[in-house]
Amino acid sequence: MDKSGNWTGAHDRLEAGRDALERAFTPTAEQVQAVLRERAARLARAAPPDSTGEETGVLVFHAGGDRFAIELDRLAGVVAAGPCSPVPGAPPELAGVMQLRGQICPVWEASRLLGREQEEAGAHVLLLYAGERQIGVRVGGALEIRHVTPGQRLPAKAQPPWVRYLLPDLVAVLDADELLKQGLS
Amino acid sequence: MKNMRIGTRILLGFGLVVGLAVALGVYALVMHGRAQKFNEEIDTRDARLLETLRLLAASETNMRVLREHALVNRLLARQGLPANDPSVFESEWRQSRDRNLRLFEELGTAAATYEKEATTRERQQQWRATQEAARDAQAALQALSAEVEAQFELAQKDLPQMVSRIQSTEKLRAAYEAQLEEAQRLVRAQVEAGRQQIAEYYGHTRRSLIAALLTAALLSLLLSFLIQHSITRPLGTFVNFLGRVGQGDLTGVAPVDRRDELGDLAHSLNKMVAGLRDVAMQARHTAEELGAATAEILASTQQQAAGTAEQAAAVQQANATISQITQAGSQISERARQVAAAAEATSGASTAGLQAVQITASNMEGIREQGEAVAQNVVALSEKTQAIGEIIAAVNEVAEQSHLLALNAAIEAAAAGEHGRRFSVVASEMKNLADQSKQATVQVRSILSDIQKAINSSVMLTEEAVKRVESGRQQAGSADRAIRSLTANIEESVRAFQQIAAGSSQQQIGFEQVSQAFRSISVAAQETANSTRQSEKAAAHLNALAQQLRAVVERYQI
Repeated sequence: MDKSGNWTGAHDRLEAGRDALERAFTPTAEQVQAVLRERAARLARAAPPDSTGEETGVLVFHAGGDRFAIELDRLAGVVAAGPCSPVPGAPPELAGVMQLRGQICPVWEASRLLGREQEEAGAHVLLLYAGERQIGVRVGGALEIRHVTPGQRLPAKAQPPWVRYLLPDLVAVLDADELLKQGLS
Repeated sequence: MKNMRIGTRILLGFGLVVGLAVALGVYALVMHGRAQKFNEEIDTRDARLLETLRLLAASETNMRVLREHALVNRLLARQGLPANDPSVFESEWRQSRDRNLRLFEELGTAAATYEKEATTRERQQQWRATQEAARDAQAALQALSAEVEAQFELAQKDLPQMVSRIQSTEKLRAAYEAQLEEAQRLVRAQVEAGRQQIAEYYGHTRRSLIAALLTAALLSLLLSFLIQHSITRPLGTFVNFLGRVGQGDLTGVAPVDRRDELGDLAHSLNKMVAGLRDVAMQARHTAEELGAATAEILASTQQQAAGTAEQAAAVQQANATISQITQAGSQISERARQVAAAAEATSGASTAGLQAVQITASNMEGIREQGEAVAQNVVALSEKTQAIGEIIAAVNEVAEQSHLLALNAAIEAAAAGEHGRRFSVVASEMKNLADQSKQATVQVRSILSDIQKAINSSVMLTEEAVKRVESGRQQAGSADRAIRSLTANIEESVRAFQQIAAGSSQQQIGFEQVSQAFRSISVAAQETANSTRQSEKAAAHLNALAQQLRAVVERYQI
């Protein structure tokens, strides 16, 4: 609205906005058809290429201001980070214990295990298999699942022992056992 | 003499003169007393004697008649003729005789007394002669008396005897009368002698008085000359001295070698001359100062004359200025009337302005209320966007849950190995949807944030607008008050300008009066100029007088 007080233009714009909102909530048949077509095309495109079977699924996540990944076969699941009770006398890497489906589960702080000083409010807890029990590792946030072919694996050279290999975008894929050893040591 | 007071001197001189006069008077009185006494003696004693003698003479005549009557009547009776009783005449004659005898006694006694008291030998002799004459006459009377008694005896017995004795009786009578005559002659001579004596005495007295008078006059003259000389000689000195003083010589001194009034006078004269000297000095000084002062007065009077001329010019200028001011005052009056009319018009305009401001204030109030309503609406809208935000949060939570679910599904699918491959695809789709939902919620949140910001901005703008409207309303109130004040001021101004117009009219009158006063002042200035010229003349005259006075004072030798 300019200074001359063009109220008519304002009224027109309000009217147009109301119409647009109305239209957005009541799609026409063409719009519905377009959405359906786009979804069909995407579904058709998403048909996974039948690979050689050497693919490995990894979960990419945030921790300590950096991105890391962990192979899916060591993961029991991902849960939202709930309340965590601190354990007296525990090392700083141990964030505490949490209750998981009726069982007490230790939760480690991923950033500390990875030697990062940066604190973060962990959003998700990765559940790792450790024998019969499950151990929680609190991370900044689980991002996505990737499928990695062997050709995409880059060898880790002069890396900490918990890094198994690197992904093409230099995301370190972690070794869960080595990582947990950091906490236990 | 020098040390005797002049008053004493004069008093002494006068006393001497008066003493001389008194002595002279006393002498004259004594002489006069003696002359008077003498006169009295002659007048009283001689005259009384003479009178007594005359009485005796008269009585003799009477007795002669009585005797003749007695004899005649005796004769008539003898003849047998009617007659008076002769004894009556006889007894009467005897009485007269006895009285005359007594008178002669008294006369003799008186003469004897007077003889003793007589002042001169001559008179003593005269008195003795008179005594003798009186005695002779008495004797003659006694002889006559004896004869007459005898006759009376004879008349009763022997008439012819009696007649024959008449002759002798007549002789006796004649002798008696002659004696009386003699006595009278003596006394008369005595009176004459006394008178001559008195004349002589008076002449002597006059001579002696004249001599005494001359002596007294000479003495008085001498005294007067002495006194005069003792006064005038020193006075002459003083007169000379005063003459010198009168000629202006104040250097001299009067001699002070006396202790009388002249000494005092000399002392006083010296004091006076000293005073005159002081006065002359002061007068000379004063004359010089007076000369200077009159010169100053002359100068200042000339200045005053010049000043008066300037004053007259200034008064004329002031009069011209007053005329201009009067014209300007009339213009001011006219302008004041115009301004008053304009102010009245302005007053009407300000009333209209007041109404406009009141309308503006009420409009402002409406705007404020509407603005507040707008703000309320916008706040309600904001609350609606909060609801939308909550919905978006819920959707986001759902998307998050879906994301986790998709991750877990993928993990589970990976754990399922080859069997989970298709499930893995589904999980991947779910994850995509969840991500899209999340992105959508992020966009919606961003839009909501924009809306929220816009709403906040709107609320703030509305609040600002309302505040401005409130301010405007207050300013309208201020304008209202200002316009009311302005209206009051304008009305006051109208009154003031009307008063100015009225005052200007009065001022015109006042200026007319002032102009009149200036004309009077101009006339007065002219008169002042005249009187100043007179003053100038008088000052010049005064200056000349001062010069003269100085010359006069210069005459004194101090």
